[in-house]
Amino acid sequence: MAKLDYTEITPKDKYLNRKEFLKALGIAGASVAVLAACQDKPFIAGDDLPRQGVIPAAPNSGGSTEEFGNILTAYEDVISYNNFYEFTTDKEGVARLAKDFQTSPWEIQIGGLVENPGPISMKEIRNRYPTEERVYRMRCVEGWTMAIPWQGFPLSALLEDIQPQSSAKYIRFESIYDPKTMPGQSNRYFPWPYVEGLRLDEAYHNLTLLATGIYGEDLLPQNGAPIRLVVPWKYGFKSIKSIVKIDLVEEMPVSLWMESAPKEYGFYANVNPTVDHPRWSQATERRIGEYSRQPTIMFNGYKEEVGSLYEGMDLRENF
Amino acid sequence: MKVWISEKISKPWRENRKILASILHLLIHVGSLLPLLVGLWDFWQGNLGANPILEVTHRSGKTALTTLILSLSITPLRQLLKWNQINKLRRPLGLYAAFYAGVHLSIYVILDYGFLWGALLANSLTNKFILVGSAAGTILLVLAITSLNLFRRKMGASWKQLHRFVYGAGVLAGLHFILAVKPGVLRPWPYAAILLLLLSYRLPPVQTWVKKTR
Ligand code: HEM
Repeated sequence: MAKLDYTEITPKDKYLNRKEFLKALGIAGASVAVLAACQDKPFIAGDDLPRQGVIPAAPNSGGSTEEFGNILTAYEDVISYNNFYEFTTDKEGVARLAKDFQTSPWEIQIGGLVENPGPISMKEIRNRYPTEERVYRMRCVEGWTMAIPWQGFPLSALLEDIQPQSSAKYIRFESIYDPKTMPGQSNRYFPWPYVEGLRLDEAYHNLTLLATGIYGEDLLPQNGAPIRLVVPWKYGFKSIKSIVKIDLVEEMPVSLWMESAPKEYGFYANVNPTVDHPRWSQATERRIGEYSRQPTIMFNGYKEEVGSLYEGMDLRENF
Repeated sequence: MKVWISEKISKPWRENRKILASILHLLIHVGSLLPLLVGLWDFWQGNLGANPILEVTHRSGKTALTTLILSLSITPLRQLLKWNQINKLRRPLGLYAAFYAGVHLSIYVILDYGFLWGALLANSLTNKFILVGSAAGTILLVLAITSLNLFRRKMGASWKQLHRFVYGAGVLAGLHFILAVKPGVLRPWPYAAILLLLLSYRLPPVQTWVKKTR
């Protein structure tokens, strides 16, 4: 990733209008796919592989692409295509069901092995932690990906204030549990509330973000308002939404997905083209807004930054 | 199978069964072609949401499964409602199921993977749901081809045997749907429940019961 250039971001209304975009791609996308098919190796994973079939930014996009040539995902798509099972398992139904979700007042309970436990309100969070903009790729385990300009602050800033004790090895997050306003939580198959976790060194990593906005606007409920985690080198489900509880713990937390489908979802969930999910090959991915597939990049392209965290680890074992 | 006409059938039903079957026949053609037309229209209009390829994959899969389920429901309806005229609806429904399975597969191979045969092969070998779906699709294709009168005449009694494989296609297609979604996603279960009901209807004890109560 090296250095991201955030100055290229154009105002929201300049981003592609998807209809025009799709029409433009109708032909281009197909021919790119065919071209890619002629390449011998694009699906042998390798993070040094050039991205195949990068579609140039359309003229009206203002050249808003990120380092891998990803066009920033249309705002309309980011707010209408969401995995948020607390509302519904239908990605396109979340926005409607989440419309009236109350995100204020809101507080996060900080607890566990910390020197400074207690609640912290969103107001305090906003006052205390200035946000910065970061463009990250968000790769879903289902094989699609977006490029999103987030507003947020590094989780490490919060950690410095709450001061983990030396016995703390992991951080555990919990989403809100409120079946009255979140109809999906009446699906008893899942052990609500949603839980996720990180190893402490992952949590302290500068890329790990607590986000409160996208595209310069406060997060909408479907995107995890008012505050969510963003861990760009891991599959999207690690980036827990609508956080109400943060605990520092000694044992590896068991996430909701680890509990509901242990063979499919592990604790680490690093983006890895060489380790397939039983249902989805992870060798390729599709950017939302494009038709052709791209090869998946190790650690979602952030290997340079995070690769050292996993040195010597068997990533097939620790999926 | 012996054709039976019961004395108990009410008069209006007896008189209107035939015309109702013809209306249904027409509705089946209209209803089965509609998803294709709507899909093409939405594709053209960019109305397929953020992930249009997955959307049309899902739509074509559900249409294939729905028409397959409808084709499996003809025999029970015929027997329970004493409605022999609807027997001719079985073939078009089965053909539509095979057609949409073909559309579904083409979307996957051409639009989704752009003929990336290496990746496609790897998926078929490692992803159970693709393997199961391909088995279901193969059965439907074979049955569609052999539904031509030419084969029907040539094959004689074995034709009927062969076309019993449609039950296998039903099981595999239902399983494919269940395996294709994340655990805890309930979308496949209404389809699976109806399939289970229709397939149970074919079990020998149920058949004996049906024949007795006629
Ligand atoms: C011929 C080989 C087949 C292939 C390669 C195939 C492939 C796929 C793929 C890639 C998906 C999407 C999974 C996802 O959401 O990630 C899918 C879903 C589905 N397929 Fe197939 N399929 C095949 C045959 C069939 C057949 C024969 C039927 C039914 C008669 C069928 C019915 C469905 C259904 C109902 C879904 C789920 C739709 C949804 O989630 O809403 N498929 N299939």
